[in-house]
Amino acid sequence: MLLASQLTGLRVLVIDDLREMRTMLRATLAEAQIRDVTMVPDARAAVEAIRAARFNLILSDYDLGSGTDGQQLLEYLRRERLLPPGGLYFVISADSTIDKVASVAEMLPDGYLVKPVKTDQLLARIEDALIRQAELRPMYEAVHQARFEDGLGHCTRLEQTGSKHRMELLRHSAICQVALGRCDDALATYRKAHSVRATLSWPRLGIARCCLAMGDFNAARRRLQALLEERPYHAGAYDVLIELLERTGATGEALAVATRAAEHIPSAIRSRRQADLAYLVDDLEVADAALTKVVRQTQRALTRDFSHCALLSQVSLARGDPQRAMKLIEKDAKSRPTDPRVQALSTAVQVQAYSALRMKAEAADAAKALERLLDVPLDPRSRLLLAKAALTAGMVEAGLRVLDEAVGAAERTSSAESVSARALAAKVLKDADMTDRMAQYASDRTDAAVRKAEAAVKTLRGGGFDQAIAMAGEALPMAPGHTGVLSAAVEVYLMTMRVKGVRPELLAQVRDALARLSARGTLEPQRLAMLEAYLKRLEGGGTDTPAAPPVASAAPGADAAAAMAAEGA
Amino acid sequence: MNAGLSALVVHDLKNRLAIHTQRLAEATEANPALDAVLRPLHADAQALQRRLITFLTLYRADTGTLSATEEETDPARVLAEAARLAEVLGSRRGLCVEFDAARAPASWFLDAYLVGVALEAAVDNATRFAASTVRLVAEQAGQGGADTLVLAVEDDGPGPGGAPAADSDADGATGLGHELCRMVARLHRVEGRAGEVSLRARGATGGARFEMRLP
Repeated sequence: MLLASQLTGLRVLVIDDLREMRTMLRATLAEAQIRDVTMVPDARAAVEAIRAARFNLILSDYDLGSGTDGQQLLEYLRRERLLPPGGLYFVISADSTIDKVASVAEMLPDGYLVKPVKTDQLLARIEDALIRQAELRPMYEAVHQARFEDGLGHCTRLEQTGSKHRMELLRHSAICQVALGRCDDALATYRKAHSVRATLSWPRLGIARCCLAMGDFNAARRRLQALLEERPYHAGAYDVLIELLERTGATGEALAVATRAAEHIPSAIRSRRQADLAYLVDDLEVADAALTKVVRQTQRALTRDFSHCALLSQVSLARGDPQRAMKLIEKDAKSRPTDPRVQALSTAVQVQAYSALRMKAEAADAAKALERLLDVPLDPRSRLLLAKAALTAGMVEAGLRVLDEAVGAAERTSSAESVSARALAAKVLKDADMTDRMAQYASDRTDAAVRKAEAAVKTLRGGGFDQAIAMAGEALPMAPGHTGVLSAAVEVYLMTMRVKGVRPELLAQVRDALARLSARGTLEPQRLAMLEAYLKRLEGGGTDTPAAPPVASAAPGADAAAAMAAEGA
Repeated sequence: MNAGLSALVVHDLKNRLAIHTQRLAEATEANPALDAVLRPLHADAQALQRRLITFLTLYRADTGTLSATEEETDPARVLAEAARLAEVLGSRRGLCVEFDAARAPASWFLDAYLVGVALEAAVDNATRFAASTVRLVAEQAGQGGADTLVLAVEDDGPGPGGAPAADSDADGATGLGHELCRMVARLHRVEGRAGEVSLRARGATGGARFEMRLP
């Protein structure tokens, strides 16, 4: 139990757009003798208050009227590091929105409350959160300061002391392991949490993320789809599934998923994701509608981002409406004349619009201005729009340099950013008729290896055994730890040996690959068992096995394994 | 009027009612002389709120948009919140409220909000039928080798199918409360095992025992 003084000493910020609700919350807090309460109506006022004073507890309504919602505000505050470690953030929601609030996989608030908030309930939640904060403080601080080794150490020590916050420790252990690049360990941690409670969504999402990072796209996809079927508001699951689909080149499918996400979770972030993908596949009508929505939603929001308007202008250009593009961008450019980022993006639009309108002199002036603005610090995707404008203006060298730098910056940010930036870079080059340069941005080495492995399976299906072996042999060293590549190569080798006879060097490679797959545990146990059993039969002189049905799919593994299963291997 | 629109209206009514309930509470505190008038009004407003919440929760279940968000929770805490409601409701009829969480596990995975709403419905029911005592229990039990959290609300009334509610002021039962409890229990599932509820006679001691068993 907490001391009464710990509660009465709390400094609280209440954020709700309805005055009566704010008053009600203050009265509820007063019943618990918490009287240092500041009340604000929206996210903007909240940020001002948080910059001016340090609050121990923030109670934010989820629905803050127009603009930024309570969850987005939390994400903004954490991103801008405005929340001190130890500061609590509770989201209060109407019962109809609780699923959406609770489904946000990342940036979890410290607690949820459902309206009407009762004093007892509020006190119990605050007390629980404060006790947890006090017990886990060293771990939270280490993670907050990106000292992940320390964070991991604290998690282990606290777990050994028998902390009752075991799941919170497992969750943070996995966060640290992922940050340290230890996917195998993270996968084991997520599995441990999953075994404690199979219905929790964060371990399931974590396992899917690890499968994706390790290249087992099929397993990741299956897990994400199952999760979304049960939790259609799970924003994190949509994000990972979209990343997976983009990585496998299924941009159209990624757009369909992003559209579903935007329908279920109507926020600017989701609509922007949908617009980016629609623009990539030239579904300009969808891109336009989504971006128009984003611009409208974020007009007065904290999350307002000039790049939304810039991309909408870009879409207008692509739809053959340069006048609209100019009109859209000019409004924002005039409102922020001293912001170089805004000026860079508006100039990029002007260059293309003037060119489309065949206003040569204006286009040349804009191009000169753009040249001076090419190195303005912007997010990678915005810089790609600058590169596009530079290429349109004939500044090929500068355009390619900016394009390359943007992709590099995205790679340093995250794998999802990298995938998106590469796809956009490829589109920029395609639009500029520089298709010969697209290959280097179309994929990274791992994705190339996956495609090669898929091609090997396809070739095997067509009966090109030797060629399939050669292709699998090329794919393996490109991504030696990749589950999909490993399993595809194993199947190519096994099927070939079944038909053409056992070859010791292939057997050795299969053994090695299966040992690696087994150690990592990322391949489905059933599939792994099938492959191992088949290997055993071959080792035992099983070349007299009946002919297997032809491999039916290019997806690494699945159908070949099914064929082997049908043989009773 | 379609169900979705009805739910929106009920949702709005529930929020407005919450504001008025709070005002009544403040008025009661500020005017001790009016306590006898205002306190029952406040209690009725709270009861109405619970009914509206029950309706909205069932509406969400009906439309397939209700799911349990399980978190590691101290079951004793959830039960204690229900016990506090039992004390408030029971005080009108001079009922004694007993609380037993001695055999409860330290934590359990459950949706504290939904389970809380369900227990409130059970408590509401028990305080209407009890003769003198309402008892709340949280304990861990084995069920075919698998552990189960049992949350029980007992009363010493006439038992299931017995005489009408002792609280003549209370509205008649609509069965919504029990349906809500059943729905909430079923949303808690682990490896094919789903939560369940039961209402049965207490045997020799008389009265009824409502149980929510969560995997």
